[in-house]
Amino acid sequence: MLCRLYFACLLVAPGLLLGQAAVTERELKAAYLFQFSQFTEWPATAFGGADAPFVIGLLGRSALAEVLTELVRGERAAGHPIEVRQLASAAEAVHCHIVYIAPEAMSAQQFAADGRPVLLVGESDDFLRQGGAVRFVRSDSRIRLHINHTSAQRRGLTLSSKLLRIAAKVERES
Amino acid sequence: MIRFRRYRDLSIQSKLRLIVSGACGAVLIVTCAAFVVFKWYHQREQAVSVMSVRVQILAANMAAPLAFQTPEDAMEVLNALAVDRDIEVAAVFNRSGELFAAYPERAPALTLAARKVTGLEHRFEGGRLVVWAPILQGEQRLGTFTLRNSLEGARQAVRRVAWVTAGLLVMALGLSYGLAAWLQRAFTRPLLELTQTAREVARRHDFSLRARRLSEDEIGVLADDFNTMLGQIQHREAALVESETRKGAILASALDAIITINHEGRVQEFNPAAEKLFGYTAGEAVGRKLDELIVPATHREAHCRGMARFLATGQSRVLGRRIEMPALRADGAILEVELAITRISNSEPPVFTGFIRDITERRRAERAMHESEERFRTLTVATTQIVWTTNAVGEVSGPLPSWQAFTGQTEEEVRGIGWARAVHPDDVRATTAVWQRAVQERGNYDTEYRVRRHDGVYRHFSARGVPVKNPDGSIREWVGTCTDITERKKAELELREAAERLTALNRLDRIISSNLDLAKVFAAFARELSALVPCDQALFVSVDGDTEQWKVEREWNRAKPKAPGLNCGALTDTGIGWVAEQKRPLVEALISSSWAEASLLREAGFQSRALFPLVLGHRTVAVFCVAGTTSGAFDRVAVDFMQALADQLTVAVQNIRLFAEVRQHAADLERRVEERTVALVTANKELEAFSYSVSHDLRAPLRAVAGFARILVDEHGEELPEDMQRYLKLIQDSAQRMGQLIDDLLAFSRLSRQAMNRVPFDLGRLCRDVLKTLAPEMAGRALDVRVGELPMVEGDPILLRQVMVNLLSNALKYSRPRAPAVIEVGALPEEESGAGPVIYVRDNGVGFDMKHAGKLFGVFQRLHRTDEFEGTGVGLAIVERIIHRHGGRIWTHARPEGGATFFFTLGGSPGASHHDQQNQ
Repeated sequence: MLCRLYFACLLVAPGLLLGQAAVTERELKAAYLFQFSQFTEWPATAFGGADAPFVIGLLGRSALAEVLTELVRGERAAGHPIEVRQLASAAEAVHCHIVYIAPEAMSAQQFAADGRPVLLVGESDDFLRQGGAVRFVRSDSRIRLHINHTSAQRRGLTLSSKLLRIAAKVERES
Repeated sequence: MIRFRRYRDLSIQSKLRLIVSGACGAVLIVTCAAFVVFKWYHQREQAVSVMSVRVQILAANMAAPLAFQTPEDAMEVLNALAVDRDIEVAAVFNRSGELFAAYPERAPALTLAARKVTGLEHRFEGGRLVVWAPILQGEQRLGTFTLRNSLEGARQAVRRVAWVTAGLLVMALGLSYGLAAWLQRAFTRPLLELTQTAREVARRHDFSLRARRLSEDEIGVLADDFNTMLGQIQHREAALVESETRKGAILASALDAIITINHEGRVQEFNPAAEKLFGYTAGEAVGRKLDELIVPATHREAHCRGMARFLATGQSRVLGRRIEMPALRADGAILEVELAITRISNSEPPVFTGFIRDITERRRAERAMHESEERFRTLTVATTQIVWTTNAVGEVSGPLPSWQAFTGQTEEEVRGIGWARAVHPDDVRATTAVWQRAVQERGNYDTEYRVRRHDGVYRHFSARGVPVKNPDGSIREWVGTCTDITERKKAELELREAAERLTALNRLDRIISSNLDLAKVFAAFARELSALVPCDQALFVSVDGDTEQWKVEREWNRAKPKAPGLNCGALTDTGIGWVAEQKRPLVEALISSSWAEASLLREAGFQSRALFPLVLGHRTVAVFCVAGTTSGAFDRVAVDFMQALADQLTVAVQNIRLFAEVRQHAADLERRVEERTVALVTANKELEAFSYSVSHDLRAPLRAVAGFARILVDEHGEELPEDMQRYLKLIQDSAQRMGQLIDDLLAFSRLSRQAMNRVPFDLGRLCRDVLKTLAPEMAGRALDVRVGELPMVEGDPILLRQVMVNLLSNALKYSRPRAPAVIEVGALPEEESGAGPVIYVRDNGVGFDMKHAGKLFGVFQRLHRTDEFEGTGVGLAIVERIIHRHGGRIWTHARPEGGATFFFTLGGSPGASHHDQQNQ
């Protein structure tokens, strides 16, 4: 009975729900990107001013921009309005706080040198080894998180313990 | 047991125990209850704070799973709740209020509603605790966490505490009760001891007992006071006994009778003087009601009323005063007593003591003196009597004021024997003789004489006198009285006259009832009249209303009249006529009378007359005339007497007339009876002669017919044809029957001639004899003959045998068709006095119709055909004649085919036969 009601609800408004099966991978990834802004602390220097936007940059080809823009409208991160930018090159990522690097776009190593407080989110197998902080890992039609805590710390970011707890794998370099 | 008694009635011991343990118990109960309630609230508070912390922690832990949509992470955390069994349900709702995760996993988590809360909230729902907390991440609100705690743990804890508290309570109560029982002993023991002593004192009336002092507290003081009081009472008691003894001695030796009564009027004390005075012993008197004992019946009601009034109002007319009243002795004698009553000081109910002194003698003396004075005063003051005194030799020496006033004599005239001049000349000699004899013999003087009053009228006096003697026996003076007895004398005279009149009327009554001759009766009337009334003539004048004439029938004169008086004449304008018409008496003075006959009477020397009507049946038949030669000769008394005489005369006249009429009637009747008797005797003789000759004359030709018919049969019978023989047989039978008829007729006619011999005899025996002779007729029949009890009767046995033979053979005859035939003979009780018993003969035969009953007893009358039932029709005629000759009557009762009953009586009175009327 309860199950039937549950499915009926899903059929009526699939787009609004965050149910596991019905939600597209794209949407899920967009949501994750947003939530990272909530569970991570940036140093105050990362923002130009009080009114400076919190920027999520997208590198490479992905259809996330549209979904994510929609998702973050009106939301704030650490008191700053959130802005989504489709980035053409790594150079454009200078003012971003979170950068999503699509699998084919480039390696994380290209960001490694500057050491700016940017949370790098990627998908490639050795993304974390190349200096990325969070990697989406597909497993059983679900997306799990692998986190390189050290990489994030090196860039001056503090990841919430809650985030770490739900992560499937957390790497720490000594 | 204690539960069922009222608290007030409990012993002090129980009360104390109850007070102490009750107070402790109440405090303990309230305390424990407060503690348990407090514990419950405390537990709840604790649960709230613990749950709040837990919920907050959990809510924080739910943020990441919610944010990253990892319910398995949430579940992992939630499952840890299993440690706490009181947590029934927990749930995580997302921002939209949808369930995200629930504990237990498949649980009725949905029973918890999503609620948007801004902070931590809790609420108690149905004894459970529900807590909500928002799930926040930074500023972001991710959802709600909610949790429900059954509070079972808290409850259990409270319960445990309650049990422990209850146990403690019971123990504490027991302890307090025990402690109270132990402590109160110190208080109650001396009290109980005191109570016991008081009870003993009351029971044994022993005031020498003392209570023990067991403590130094208030009860100890109480015991001391109690003992002091007992001491006082003991002292008083002794004083009381002494006082009682002293009082007893006083009562015993007092000269006055002293009686104490209680409020009911019952005697309580009765001292020796009272015993002596009233004749009762104290033993008899004590306990009885005083009013029944010594109060005379006449005063009893007043005594009871006074007593009741005092008891009701407290007021008394006798209390504290000396009163005198009669009293009753045991032997019924009445005493005069002086009485003082006091009430014993304020005792309640009141008790009274009376001090009684016999004053009978004193009172008697007083009364005697008083009476003497009274007598003397009356004697001297009396106005109707004349009081006189003379000297020793019987001469008046001083004034006699009352005598002088009556007679009008002066003092001088009275002196000596001058008073005798006022005495009637006819009485002077006798009076002075009696007076002189009394003076000589020094005896009492007593006589009667007439005295001339000052106005000349003589009055009858009774004079009496006695000598007053000196102590030496010589006569000092005479005193006496003269009493006017004129009225008495007159009354005596009137009485004597009335008695004489009554006697005269009585005498006349006897004459009237024994005498029917007007001449003699009138003479007797005139005699009585002349003796008692001053009349000189009496007339009995008959009045004829039809011819308007009067006529003197009888005349009486005291002396021969001077001139011829009344004789006869017309009624018109006469006093006689008026009296006859008015039927009223007339009394008049002839001198002024204008009636027609008055002048005749005046000429004859009469001056007054009285007329009385004699009325018989509304008709004045005569007038009784009385005349006198003096004027006013007839006063009211005389007129009344003459009226009575006239009434009696009326009765006499009526008697005389009635007697004459009766005598005339009797003579007529006698004559007519004689004539009838002669006619009857003649007719009877003729009838008898006729019937006798008829019988004899009829018998001769009949004998010829029968004889020749027999000869014809005997000699030529066989030669004759058969039908001829039959005719001859018929002739013979008819002749024989005719012979029988003639015999019966002769017997019947003989009955009236035959002398009757009336003797007493046994009818039952006669009946049985008759039945024996009828045996041939009864032979061979189914018969039930019942002869009941028959009485002894008086009659002619030979004639009555005939009656029974006829009735019984009739019954046998007419019941022949019946089998069995039932015949009853019996007697009924006397129907009317003098008629004798009713004898009946009943059969169940063919009976007859009652409308023919009239014919039944006629000669030759038959109701049935001869060939049905043989007979001549004379039997019942004979029976009837015999019964009538006995003065009885006979009647029947029958129904066609329903049998017949013949009843008869043999009563004494001749001619009492009414059977004809009866049967019609």
